[in-house]
Amino acid sequence: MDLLKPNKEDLEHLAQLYVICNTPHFLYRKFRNDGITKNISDFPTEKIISALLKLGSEGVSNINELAYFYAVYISLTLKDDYENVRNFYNKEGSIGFEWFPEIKSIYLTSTIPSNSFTISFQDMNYAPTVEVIQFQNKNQYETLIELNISSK
Amino acid sequence: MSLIILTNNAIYEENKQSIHLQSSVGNNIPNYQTKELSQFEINTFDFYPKKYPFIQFKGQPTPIYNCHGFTFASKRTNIYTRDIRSILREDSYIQIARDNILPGDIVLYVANDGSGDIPHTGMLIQIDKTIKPEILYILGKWGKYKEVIHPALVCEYDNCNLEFWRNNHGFVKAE
Repeated sequence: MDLLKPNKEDLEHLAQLYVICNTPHFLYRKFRNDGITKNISDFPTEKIISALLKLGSEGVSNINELAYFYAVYISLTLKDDYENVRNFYNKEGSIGFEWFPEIKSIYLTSTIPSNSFTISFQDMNYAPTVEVIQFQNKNQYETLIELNISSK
Repeated sequence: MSLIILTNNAIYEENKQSIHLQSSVGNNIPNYQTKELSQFEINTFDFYPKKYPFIQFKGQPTPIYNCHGFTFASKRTNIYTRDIRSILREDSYIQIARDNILPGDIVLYVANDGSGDIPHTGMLIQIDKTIKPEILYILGKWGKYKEVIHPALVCEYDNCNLEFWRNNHGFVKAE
């Protein structure tokens, strides 16, 4: 598969999915579960990002290309590479497509990175609270585990 | 590095516009019309009529309104999912139990993944009781595609729970 030259059948398939989406959340779910998006996500993150930049600089001129653009964008959400994907989503700014901001928002609010753990506790007002704590390396992870255990 | 999408035709965002739209209590309802897709492009799609040969596709494809705009804005514009619940509240809709539904009631397809998303809405137009279990026919709009008359459970919007609502201005008795 060539990221920059998808075949016609794939383009048409993605466009068929795209055209019946009423909401960005539905598009996000449909595309993430689609085989073509999954295939795109097999590429390294940096290759997907550079493909997005290249495709973006060229622009899209029809619905097939637009749907493919969404697929490449959403494929990043399947990567186990939270930091880089988050950084890219937060840096890119001037995207004109209607649902990119929502897709970014869904990803950032629903994804728990693999290098993290979740702590559930009650706050001072006894309200249930959940916090996601990320660690950058093994030492930090062990320290956080220690702190977590000693706080119980 | 920012990603700037320039197209040969137009920047899609520039094609967006909204209209004056309010709930019955006078609050503005955010909305947008888009001309993102040309008629020519959408007309090339014959995929869904082939996939669903027993479903009736109505009218022409248009991105001017989505299913929520069909259901709550008289086909004039697109409405966001996040505003559906407030529209139901401000327009005095009441939820109808499955046993009490009637043609004309609104149906919401609520995603069962806990996201609160409502990927599809439409209007119940017929209840076929000659078959058991009875078949509910929904008139709705599929995204930027066409209006569709489809059995409630035969459509692209899977993994959803159905909710039925009726507009009952000034009448608060639960049914």
